[in-house]
Amino acid sequence: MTGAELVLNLLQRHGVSEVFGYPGGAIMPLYDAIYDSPIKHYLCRHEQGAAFAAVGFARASRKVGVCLATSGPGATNLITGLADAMSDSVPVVAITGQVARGSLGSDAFQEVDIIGLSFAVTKHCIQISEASEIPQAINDAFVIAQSGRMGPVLIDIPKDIQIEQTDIDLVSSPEKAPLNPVACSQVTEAKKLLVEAKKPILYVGGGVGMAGAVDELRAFVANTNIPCVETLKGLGTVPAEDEHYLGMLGMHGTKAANLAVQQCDLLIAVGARFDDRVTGKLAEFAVNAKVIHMDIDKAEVNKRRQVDVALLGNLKANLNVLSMPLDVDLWQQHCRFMRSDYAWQYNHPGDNIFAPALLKTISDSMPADSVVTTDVGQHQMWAAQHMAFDRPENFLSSGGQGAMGFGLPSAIGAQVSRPNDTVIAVSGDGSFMMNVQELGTLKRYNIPVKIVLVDNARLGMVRQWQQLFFQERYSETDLSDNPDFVMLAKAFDIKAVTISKKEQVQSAVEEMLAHEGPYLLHVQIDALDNVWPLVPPETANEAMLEST
Amino acid sequence: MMQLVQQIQIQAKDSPVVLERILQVIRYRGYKVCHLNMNKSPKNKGLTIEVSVESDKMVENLIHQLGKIVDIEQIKVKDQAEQKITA
Ligand SMILES: Cc1ncc(C[n+]2csc(CCOP(=O)(O)OP(=O)(O)O)c2C)c(N)n1
Repeated sequence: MTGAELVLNLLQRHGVSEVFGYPGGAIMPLYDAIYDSPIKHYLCRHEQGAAFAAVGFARASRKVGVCLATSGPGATNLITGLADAMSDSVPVVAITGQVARGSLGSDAFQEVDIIGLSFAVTKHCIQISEASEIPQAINDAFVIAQSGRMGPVLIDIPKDIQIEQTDIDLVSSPEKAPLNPVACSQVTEAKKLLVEAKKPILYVGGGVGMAGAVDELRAFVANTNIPCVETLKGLGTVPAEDEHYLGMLGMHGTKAANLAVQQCDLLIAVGARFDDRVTGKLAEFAVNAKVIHMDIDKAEVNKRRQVDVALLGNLKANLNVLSMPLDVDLWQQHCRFMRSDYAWQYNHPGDNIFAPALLKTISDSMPADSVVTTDVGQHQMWAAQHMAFDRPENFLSSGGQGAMGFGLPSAIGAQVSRPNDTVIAVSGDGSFMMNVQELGTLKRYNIPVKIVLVDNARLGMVRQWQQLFFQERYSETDLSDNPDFVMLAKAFDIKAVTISKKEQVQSAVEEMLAHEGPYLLHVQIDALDNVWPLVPPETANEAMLEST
Repeated sequence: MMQLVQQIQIQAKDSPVVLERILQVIRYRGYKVCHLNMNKSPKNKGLTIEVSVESDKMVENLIHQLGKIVDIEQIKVKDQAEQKITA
């Protein structure tokens, strides 16, 4: 068996049946082995697309996503996707080809020190120096990617090792990631804070879904009667219709969520990391609250906010340990009233399409357990605000990095991992163009992703900030010379329709959802529509702007 | 802000990337290296690394970040109790 065949065999043994990638010189032996392998390879049209597809695959299925690239430019094109996976704790294994060992360090053709480049964007990276190291390296990569706080691992394999004949035997079965430990030392202190609290809030982050602790969290909410808020990555953890749920918090959070957090006397952060987009001005974030922080990553504790009690380790177990009925009826009622008093309004003057209402219509019409991915910008925040998700695996958005170009390729990965579910990519006209080449991937494999392109002919979110904070000096945010998106989709043999009036929305959404293959719904909206509420940067979350 | 110099002792696997990773984390998290000493220990083939860092930040935060480097086996602030890596 060659080194390349060994790699593919090992991937299979780790349960991998689909990979995303792009071939090139230094990874040709691996692609030669793919030719005969039962592993299905999806050819993306840019390595960034392959990395984001692996992220979408992993996040939608809670499995490891795998992407492949050649050395040099192929490997560097993976970096943005790896950075996204690192920030959002996504288990991805990236395999790159490298120049042959004899040429390493000689500035050979397409040689780049990808190990050096990957330190900042991977949890771990390994360069193989002997074929005999391959089994351990692949095993380690899968264990490390999935254990503790999950994240991306890169394996760099020189070309001559891929070709080398090996007689390594594969009898031992692959190691599994260890279960996260339970911390019990501070449980008593945490329970004391819970019992004493009059106005507790549960602040739910993406870590809950990643830990597979959604059921435990929902049971905790039901048992304690505690009001809760979610981060962008936490959306879907508590059902949107649950009376305890106040919405997303932070820069574009709901008024009810932000006010409740600012008023609370105990904040229980679960799998969340006090990101600056969540806290606003940190010194003024939930100033009267004691804090319990439950997380798997010790390094997140006291990183941005000093906490009173930290419970490290397995969220599933720790949530169960803390769960008990609390006497918080009055507070819960106050929060419920805020939720209804400040509920979203969808009345909007004129005939033009109001993106929040459009996205709510899609959300109300999509089948149960649909996956929604987004790009980055105003449309992303509108989707987070106005769509409802059954579970965290159903809302995929680039949170920590906010990487434009995420929407389409991550939807491809999600659809590959869940072929029977509807997958909708909500994109903006700026972001869509960042990985527009992935329309080729949709076409080739007839992947039935539904793209909703919210077109304001602007880099809308940047334009909104220019309007609010840069005296309407609209520097380089005009996209009124966009291509004809319908014609563009048609060039890839993808059905596409443009709408621009409210009365067209319902039937267009129904037609899109009923369509069997890939589909592009191009939605023209006003260039000057803004996302509200908005907490200006470095401002306390209660000082949100609600309209101009 | 007062700058503090603190000494960290690290026991690590002898992997080609571990030293660079350590230095990258120290710089990225806002600490400056003032002194560095590394030895390959003959018995277990591991590395012993002593590094002094300067910062106005608590060294504990850095220790937790360094503790996430896969190849690090043990880490402690000199003259403090040893911390086993569990992160
Ligand atoms: C790769 C990348 N480059 C730049 C940015 C900065 N940025 C954030 S939002 C945005 C505008 C996005 O425009 P569009 O995709 O049309 O979405 P809209 O805000 O109009 O809904 C930009 C440029 C980014 N987040 N990612």
